[in-house]
Amino acid sequence: MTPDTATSEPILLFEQVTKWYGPVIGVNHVSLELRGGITGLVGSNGAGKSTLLRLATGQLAASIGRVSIRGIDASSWRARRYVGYCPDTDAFYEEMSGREFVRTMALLSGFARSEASDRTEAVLARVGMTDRADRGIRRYSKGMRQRIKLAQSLLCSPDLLVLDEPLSGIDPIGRQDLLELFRRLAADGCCLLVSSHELEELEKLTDRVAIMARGRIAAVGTLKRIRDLLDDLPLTIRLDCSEPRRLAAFLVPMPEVSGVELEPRVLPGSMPSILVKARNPKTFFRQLTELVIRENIDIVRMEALDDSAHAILGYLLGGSGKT
Amino acid sequence: MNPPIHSSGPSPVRAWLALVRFSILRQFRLRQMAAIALGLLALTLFVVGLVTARFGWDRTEVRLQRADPRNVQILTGGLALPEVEAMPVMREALRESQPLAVFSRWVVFFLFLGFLMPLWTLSFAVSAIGSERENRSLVWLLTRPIPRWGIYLAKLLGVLPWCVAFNLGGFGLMCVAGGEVGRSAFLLYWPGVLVGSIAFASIFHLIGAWFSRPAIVALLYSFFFETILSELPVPGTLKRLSISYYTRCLMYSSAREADVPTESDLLLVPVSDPLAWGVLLLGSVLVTLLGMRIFTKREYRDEV
Repeated sequence: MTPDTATSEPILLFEQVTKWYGPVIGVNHVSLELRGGITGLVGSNGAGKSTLLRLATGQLAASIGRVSIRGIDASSWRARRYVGYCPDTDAFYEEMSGREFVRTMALLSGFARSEASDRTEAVLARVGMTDRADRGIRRYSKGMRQRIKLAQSLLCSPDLLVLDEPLSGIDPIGRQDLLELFRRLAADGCCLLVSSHELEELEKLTDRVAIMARGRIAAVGTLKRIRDLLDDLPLTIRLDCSEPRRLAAFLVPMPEVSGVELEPRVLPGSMPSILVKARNPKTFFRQLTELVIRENIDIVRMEALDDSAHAILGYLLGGSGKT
Repeated sequence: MNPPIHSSGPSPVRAWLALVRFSILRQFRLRQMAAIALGLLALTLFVVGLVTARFGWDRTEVRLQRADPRNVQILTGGLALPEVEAMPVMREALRESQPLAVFSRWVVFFLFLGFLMPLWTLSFAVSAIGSERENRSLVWLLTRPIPRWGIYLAKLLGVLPWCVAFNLGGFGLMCVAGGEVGRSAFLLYWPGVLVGSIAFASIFHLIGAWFSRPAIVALLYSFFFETILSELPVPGTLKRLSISYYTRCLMYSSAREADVPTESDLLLVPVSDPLAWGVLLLGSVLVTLLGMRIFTKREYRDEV
């Protein structure tokens, strides 16, 4: 890994990239620049995440625009020397052991035999698979397969590590290990582009995200910055209270409230709740505070459902935010 | 722990050579298609062995029973036998009925060249890239620092030894099952089998990289183009587009030099040996170049 992530040349650069699959558009006019650190890529199914990752790894060529890795066209084999890729597909050469697979990938990356062996052991140790690497891949759990995929992506000490759903199928302890590994890789100067549906996990890993919607990059930046931009956009809040119907009656006429929904009780005896959709969160919270004091309404819990990447995604997609 | 840094670093040539080796070894793992090929080989060996043991390959008596001059001989009580045998039509019938000619026509030209050689080659060559696509493991190759055309070429070089070895080996075993006649046939026809295998491998490898259902396309091509065109005893120029035709020409030429009648040259309309060799070898190179270009440009988004 080269530590010069702050140099002027971006590690990954998308320049006005559009990708068509016949009449269907995969990514639309995407510009993206990564110079280091960890960037999360989120978006609903069909948003164009996989297309973007395949463009970055040179598996697909842009219909319009250019994708480059350290200035080299991403579709060139030379660019692949700088890129490690952990795909989301679960396909292996099943008859091999984990160690054989990673070593084969090292040989196919052009390393001499001795170096391929050394690198294989190093990356297996890095993903915590050294002692389990001699088992056949077909006998691995999902998490172990995921680690082997990750191991092979680290073989060439990549400048850019592209990870497609890397935490999928990994147990909570394993997730912590891998998140820690990703942070160490980033600290070593590797630029990580991580696609995930696990937005909660992604938020633990990085606060810089690129949100994709309908083939476009809808927003890039830190979650806080994106959140600030969304201040004037609707917010959904769950209010747990003893008199939900009475509260709803006060909320419905309020100009800042666009919708109120009574939620069924999850368990008998649990506190009922309502979902409120507010147009301008700042104004709404001020008015709600005044209402609660004036009418003496007992609200025991208030939760902004979309105070997370889920919600940001939801706003940008115009949907639920669930991916 | 970072991967240790060696002075040599990665080399694209080394990666490519590793891929050639990997492809050769990988082919051994594709048991399903190899099993089909082996099954066909076993069946063929059984049939050829049975015919050799039970009936032999000499069909003189059968031909004589069908030929009109035999009737003349019966009527004259054998007195006219020398004259009958001296007749041109009778001489030709006897020549065509000699064991090597019969074995060549039925086993080598009809069974092996028209059916088994394309099918055996297909079973290996189509799966070189086709199986990677089917198993969705192509992504591991496409993300290595090897040019796409290099991947295509390495895969071809990986599968070629298997195609050649299986065709030559299978043909050899068939010839052994054919007894002494078979051994003579092997010496006559092995060069045609060799170059035909290379040509078939190149075209089926291309089909494997090009089409999303390569095995079906290759079977259709094999049966409806190669087999039918080469087996139909009709003259014409369309057959000149098939690999079987040029392979057949080479074998025909070898047989003619050994005075073994195999086919009617009026129907086959053979081309010269240099032209047949040239078309098969140059065609293989051109098809490979085309495949390298297609594989470089094609996007395998559903198979990775």
